Amino acid sequence: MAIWKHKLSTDEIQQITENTLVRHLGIQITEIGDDYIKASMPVDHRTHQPMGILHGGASVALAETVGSLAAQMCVEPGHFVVGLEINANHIRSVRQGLVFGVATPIHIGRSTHVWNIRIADEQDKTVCISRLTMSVLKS
Amino acid sequence: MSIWKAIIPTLPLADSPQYSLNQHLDIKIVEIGADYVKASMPVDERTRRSRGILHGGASVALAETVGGYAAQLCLDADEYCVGLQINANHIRRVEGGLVYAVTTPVHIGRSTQVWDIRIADPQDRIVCMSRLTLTVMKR
Repeated sequence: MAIWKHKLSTDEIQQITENTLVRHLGIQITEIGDDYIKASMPVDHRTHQPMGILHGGASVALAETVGSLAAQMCVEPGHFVVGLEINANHIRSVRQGLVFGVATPIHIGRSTHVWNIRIADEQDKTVCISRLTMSVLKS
Repeated sequence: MSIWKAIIPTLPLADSPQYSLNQHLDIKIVEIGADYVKASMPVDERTRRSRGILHGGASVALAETVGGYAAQLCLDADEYCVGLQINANHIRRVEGGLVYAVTTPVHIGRSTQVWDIRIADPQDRIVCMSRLTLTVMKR
């Protein structure tokens, strides 16, 4: 059974990510499952660090994006979410191609959410593991 | 007394490739003190999330950039470092202008470094607090 209370359509996601970091880094939501969201991000000049590998901060930006979108889809109308805390372990370097972030819930409460985000490369090798804590607020 | 081992570049980040996340988000090193590095980042369509506020992932990208930059300055010529772990608490929302990140060392060891990064708005109100762990590698 799906966990979503307010599933966003691709059009709605496009609309709320207009003029944001999400578009600027080329992040795209590729799949919405029953209990997970998957997004892709290119590894190129937009997300490299000076040594030509994926910038750890870009991984965290992807993690926070996919985790927040997932959290937003699990709150009642009239509520919205903001990030409280995030951590990330950088495990593997990536030079090019795409990376994929998958967010799955650890805890979906009334006032807080905790989400796990795994980022992997095109061969599904783990690049980064992140945990995001969100606060639920009234609009 | 200064903590830096490397020669302080006169034009910080000048040797980094033109195309990287740092440039893409317009992150600039603005000051190098005896034991800290300060960087700025604009809050605009490149770094915002929906609702017109600073994206938490952008804060972490800034934190990892300035922390990684400072860590590089504490290494011998035959060493480089990579981020292992980062965490961040998002404390205050920002809608526009610039944010400033100041990084100071917690631990500068032979094989690992730990840096604190405090991000604040122009009124010096805290926006985000982050801690970055890096591992030191031989070239």
